[in-house]
Amino acid sequence: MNRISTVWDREFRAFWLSPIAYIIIIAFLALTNFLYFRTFFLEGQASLRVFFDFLPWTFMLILPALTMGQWAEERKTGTIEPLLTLPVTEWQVVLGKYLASVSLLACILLLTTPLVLTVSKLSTNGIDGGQTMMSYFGALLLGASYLAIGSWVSSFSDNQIVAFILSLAAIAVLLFVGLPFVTYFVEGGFSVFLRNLGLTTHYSSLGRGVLDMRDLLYFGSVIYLFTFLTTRMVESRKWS
Amino acid sequence: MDNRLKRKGNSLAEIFIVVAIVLVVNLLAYKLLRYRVDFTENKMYTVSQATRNFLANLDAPLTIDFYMTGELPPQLASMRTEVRDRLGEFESLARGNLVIRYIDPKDDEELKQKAQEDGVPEVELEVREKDKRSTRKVFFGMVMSHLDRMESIPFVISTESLEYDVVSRLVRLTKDRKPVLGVFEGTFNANQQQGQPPEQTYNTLRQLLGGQEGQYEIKRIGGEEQVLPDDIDGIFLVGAFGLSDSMKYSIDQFLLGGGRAIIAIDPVMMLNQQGMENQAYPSLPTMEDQLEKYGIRFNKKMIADPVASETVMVPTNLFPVPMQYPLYVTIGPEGFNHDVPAVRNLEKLLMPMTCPLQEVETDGVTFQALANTSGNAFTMNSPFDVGIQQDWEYLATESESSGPYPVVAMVSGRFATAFPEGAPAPPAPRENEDGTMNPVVDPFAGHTHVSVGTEDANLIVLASARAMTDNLFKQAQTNALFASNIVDTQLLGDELLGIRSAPVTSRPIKADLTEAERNTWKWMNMAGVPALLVLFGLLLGFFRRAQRRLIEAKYGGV
Repeated sequence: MNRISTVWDREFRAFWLSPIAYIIIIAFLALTNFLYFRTFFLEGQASLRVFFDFLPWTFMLILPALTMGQWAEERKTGTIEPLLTLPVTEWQVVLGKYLASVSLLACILLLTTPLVLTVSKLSTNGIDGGQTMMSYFGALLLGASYLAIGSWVSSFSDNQIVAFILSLAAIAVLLFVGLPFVTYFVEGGFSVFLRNLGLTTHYSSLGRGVLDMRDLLYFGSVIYLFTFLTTRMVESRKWS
Repeated sequence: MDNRLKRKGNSLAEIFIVVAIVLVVNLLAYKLLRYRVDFTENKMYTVSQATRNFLANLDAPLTIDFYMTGELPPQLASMRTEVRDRLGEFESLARGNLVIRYIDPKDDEELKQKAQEDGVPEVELEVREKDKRSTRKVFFGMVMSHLDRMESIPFVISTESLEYDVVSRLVRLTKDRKPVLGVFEGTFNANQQQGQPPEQTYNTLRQLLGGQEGQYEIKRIGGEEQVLPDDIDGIFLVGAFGLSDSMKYSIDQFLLGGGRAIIAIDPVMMLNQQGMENQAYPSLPTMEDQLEKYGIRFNKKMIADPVASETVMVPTNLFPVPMQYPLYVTIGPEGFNHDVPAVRNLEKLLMPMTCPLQEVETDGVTFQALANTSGNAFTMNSPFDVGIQQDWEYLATESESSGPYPVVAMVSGRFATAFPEGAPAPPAPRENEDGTMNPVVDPFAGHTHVSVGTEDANLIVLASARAMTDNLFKQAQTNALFASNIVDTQLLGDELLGIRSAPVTSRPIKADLTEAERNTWKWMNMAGVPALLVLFGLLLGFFRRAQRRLIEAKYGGV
């Protein structure tokens, strides 16, 4: 555990010292707030659903940017070699790095809470606290899944730009597969399978304010699977 | 080399196994894992147990095609998410047996035509945007299909009764056979001449429920038959005049066995005799004593409501003049019981010549008023003057009480029999013309008398059978909607009776915000938070540099 926290500490600090992270976070905040306020006063309802509805798309753009260098940069600069010769196992390094990026994601989400306070303040009847809390939880799980995918893609690429594009593509596949415009063309049971394979189905379910164990299991599976694949990819360096 | 290949092979096998396990666990969980917690304030997504049971027990796939225009006007845009959420909840509870597809027809004329043919029309709505008024055509309805059968909700007006609206249709779609509704028409027509049609007819009601488009098979009851047929799912009595004792007993036993019934009785009878044209009296008793045993009493005083009443055309020497008729009482939206989905969204019900219904405390039976008059209503004593031109204000001051009065009520639970002595004796043998005696047939031979309900029954009572007549349906189409809803509730059984209306809390933003205030809040979020983050980054950089300078000063440059 101590070793994981050491890796986490190194990675987390590195994020906050990088101007790229600031640019990405600021772009994210400006974009989501802009999109939200475009219709907020027009609809006249104190609901944060529109904000959370945009997150899968804005996350798709910013989170691969955070993970693109996670392994690709280490490989390019050659720092991966000394890192893996330290007395830590591959999975400890992978987990430490992954948890650092999830912590950064949590900070990003924390920076959106002024929006919640604003909406609550402008509402005549407050906001639905339970639903908002679950929406944040869903956003964290969705983002964590994106990060796991991004980390895996980064683990087999030497180029950050390639890692970014491939992450974006991989996330897009899991995002689009469950959307109505894809499932509409498929009949019956397979349509249900595709819907449940898609990230948005489970994210929307949590966003309603309902905690369903199946959604938790789904996100847990995605995160575990891609973290496992990342570990195997990192391990495979030893064989070459 | 061999070792490397071996490790690679092992690793690939491991990956394959992990992927397979993850897939299988998720597939199994999808079918078996049922733990859900609703964190919303009003438990908005806590679907009623009745709906859960229905959806979980679906054994054939159902499809809902929701036609929803992409760019909806603001009044519908916020409802879109709610509709999708609720339908999503149904979908997840149905475990693969309910497929929901969202379709935006856009400019696809073929899709538009299909939507309209299936029962979802394109509706023109008035839109107000930035102080401009315009109209926009939108689709916001759904088509439900199951095998070759179809049901539709042409336009979703509110999400509060969505659960009821959707599930009632799905229940109908999945029924193997049309539910059978026994109908008895028995109203007192004092002036009916022999061979003349009765004054009160109910053809529209029968057509509505059992015609080509109707959802039920209608079976007339009464007449020669002394008992209810076995295959009856529910009964609708419009009037009980002429109902035999044995049929009343049969209805009693039907209710005690968990039967569903709707009974509409006129509390007022018009004699229309010469010189007494405007006189009316409490109707002759028919089943009132029996209903009292189930928990509902008719207080046969006529209700007048000078404020909430229908306008009728009164013939004069020159031309008919519209006048408000306080004895044609109307129930407005606020008069309906909002806890009962079947009536909660109704706008109006016209109840002509009605009387208050009262609860009779009965063990194990729950009384619920479904429709109440307004607070301006008052009662008149017998004999009733039914003339339209009266001093209604004065009559109100003379009245013993004032509204609201329940005029439609529902009692549910386990009823006690209204026939404690058992089945009525069979009729005495009659002598035929040829002198032989007709054999006595006991319709209840072999029947075991039930004195206390074995199942929960449900009975809806209307204090006006006139409200269901053809004439009234022409005058107030909402009465037809009311009739359909209460029959649906009764005949589609427990699937619908237990469905609650989902509470929706409206959270409008403050209306008194000025443009400047709105912009301030907007920019505070859009630029304020990023600005604070930049400041944080600069401060962090500054402290790091300061720290570095301190170290350099202490230990010298490296």
